[in-house]
Amino acid sequence: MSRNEGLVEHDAGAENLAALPRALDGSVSDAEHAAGRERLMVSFGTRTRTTPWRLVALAAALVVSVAAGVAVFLVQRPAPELEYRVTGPVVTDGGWLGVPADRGALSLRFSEGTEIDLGPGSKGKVESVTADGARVVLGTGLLRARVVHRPRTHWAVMAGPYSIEVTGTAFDVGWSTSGERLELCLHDGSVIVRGPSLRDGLRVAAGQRLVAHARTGGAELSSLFAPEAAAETPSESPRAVEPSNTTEPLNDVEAPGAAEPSSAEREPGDSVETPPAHPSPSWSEMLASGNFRGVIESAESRGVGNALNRGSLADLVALADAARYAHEKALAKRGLLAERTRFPGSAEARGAAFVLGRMADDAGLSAEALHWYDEYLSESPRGSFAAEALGRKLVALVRAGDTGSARSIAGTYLERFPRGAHAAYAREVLSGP
Amino acid sequence: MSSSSGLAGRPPSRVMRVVTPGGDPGEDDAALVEAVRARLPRAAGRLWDRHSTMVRRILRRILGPSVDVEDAVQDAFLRLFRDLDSLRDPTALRSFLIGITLHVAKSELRRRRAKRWLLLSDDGVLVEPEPQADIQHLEQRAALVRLYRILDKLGAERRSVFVLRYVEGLELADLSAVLGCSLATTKRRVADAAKRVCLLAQNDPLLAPYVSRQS
Repeated sequence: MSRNEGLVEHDAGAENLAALPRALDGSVSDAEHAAGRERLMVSFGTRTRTTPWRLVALAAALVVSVAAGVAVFLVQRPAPELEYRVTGPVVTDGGWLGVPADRGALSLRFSEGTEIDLGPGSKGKVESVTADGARVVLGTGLLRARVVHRPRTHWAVMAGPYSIEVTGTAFDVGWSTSGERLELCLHDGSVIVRGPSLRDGLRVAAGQRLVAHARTGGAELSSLFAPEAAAETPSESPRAVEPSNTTEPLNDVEAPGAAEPSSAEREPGDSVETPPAHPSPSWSEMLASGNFRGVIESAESRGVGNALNRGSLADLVALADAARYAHEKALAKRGLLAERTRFPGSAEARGAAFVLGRMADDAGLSAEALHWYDEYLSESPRGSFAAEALGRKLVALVRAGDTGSARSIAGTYLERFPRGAHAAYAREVLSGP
Repeated sequence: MSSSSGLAGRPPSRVMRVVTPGGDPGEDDAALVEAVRARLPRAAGRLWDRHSTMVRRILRRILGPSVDVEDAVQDAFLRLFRDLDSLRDPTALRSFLIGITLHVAKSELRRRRAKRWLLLSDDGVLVEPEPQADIQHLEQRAALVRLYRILDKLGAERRSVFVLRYVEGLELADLSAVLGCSLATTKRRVADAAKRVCLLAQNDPLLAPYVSRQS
């Protein structure tokens, strides 16, 4: 068909105007073309082909009634392997995905909702993918993960000699090849870390930071609360959970001498002026070394009531955390409540509200959990646990059958944290009946 | 975020295989489709080599001067690979891919429209960055921005029809296949888009000369 066949009244004018956008065409260099090609290959070449639906008889159930028995064959489709897409700047080298240091983060979006970001200057790769998760290797730099929890979820992040086994959680992990230093900050859920001196696996829970040194085999477990809470005051500025801030820990892990604990790793007691009421090591130091039972025994030797009523804020934080990690829930709750009643308005007290909410949540006490989440969100609307508090509040509301409130919170959550760990859940709530 | 933007200062030979755009002229589209469907190792790359320039060009032309289209180009190809099994006639790959590209462009336009609602400036106009292309004449650059403001008023459908027919130069039959409508309907839609653009352009002092100028 000739082009003239389509002539209409305004053809000439339209043709003239159309010359303008052609000026946009420009050209694509060979390197740019190849970069796009590599990026596509990373996304497509490693994407797994969806298994064709197969009918598989999994079970036969015999239903016996008075009149007759009926065999019912249940068919079930095998779950397809997860797929993922890569977005953002990427250069590939020997199967690794490299993120240029000056061009933002690289994102891996998995089909079941899990999101993994590689920070600027980082290097990583997806080693394998299954229907239940994937095995991701962090070569160097910072990796941020928001793993969606599902039944049989099986994710692992490898960093040097360390492996982090994940169920459903949100965490940041930094690995420095030069310093052989792992730094793991857990925002939600829990993980098991294995590696040098951690052969039996160390459980790291929400609110904890693990710093491990492969060279010496040393590992320090500390609380995320105090350092992050300190940054929470008083301006309530956006927190380090924002993606743009991912360069901070990356810079930290890449810095020479990064094996030495940074100021951000100091324990709660370090920032509190009240002098310790006991000889060294302090409870904060004992907590950092993983000696949870030692903190509790020390408190018991002094008298728990005395410690709770007269101890410094640093000691209260250390005692509450130690009790929590040692699964002494009653003592942990007393410590957290003491933080709030004795030091109201402090960053530690505000963080304690979130922890109390989590503890109530874990115990199935939805009403109490909702109370504490609301307390935290009203006191720290931009706090570093605001996303988790709001997400957990959403889950608690759904569990309590309060659909109206849940939908409202789901909308709020997606507005504030569209890429948060509970975003997929919030969308499900909103799309539900 | 452009994938190419992070390459500055890196020796390409270390990180990637440089392939000249255009692909293998000896391989036709149908063979390429079958190769991709069979997941032959380098088939997807060859498809990229052959058609990415066209996809990028259409996206740039539809979306306008202020947009980095690399993510959209990637999205179009990933959708193509996903939907390739539904392509009945492998020789129609080009139309099929243009249709997908159009879909991606419309999605992007909808997303940008939503963004405008959220980020309205005082005068109700979203401040757009300068065109990325190296356009020498200021007047031409200003006219280009004005044209895309007009296209913004058209809606995604008319905008796409205008660009594909007049800027991209698609034949009516091809456009009809891409749009999935009859030739007669396609002609009506083209005429409607041209009329709308020209009427709006006539009221713009920078664009009016283009409309009145003889071809």
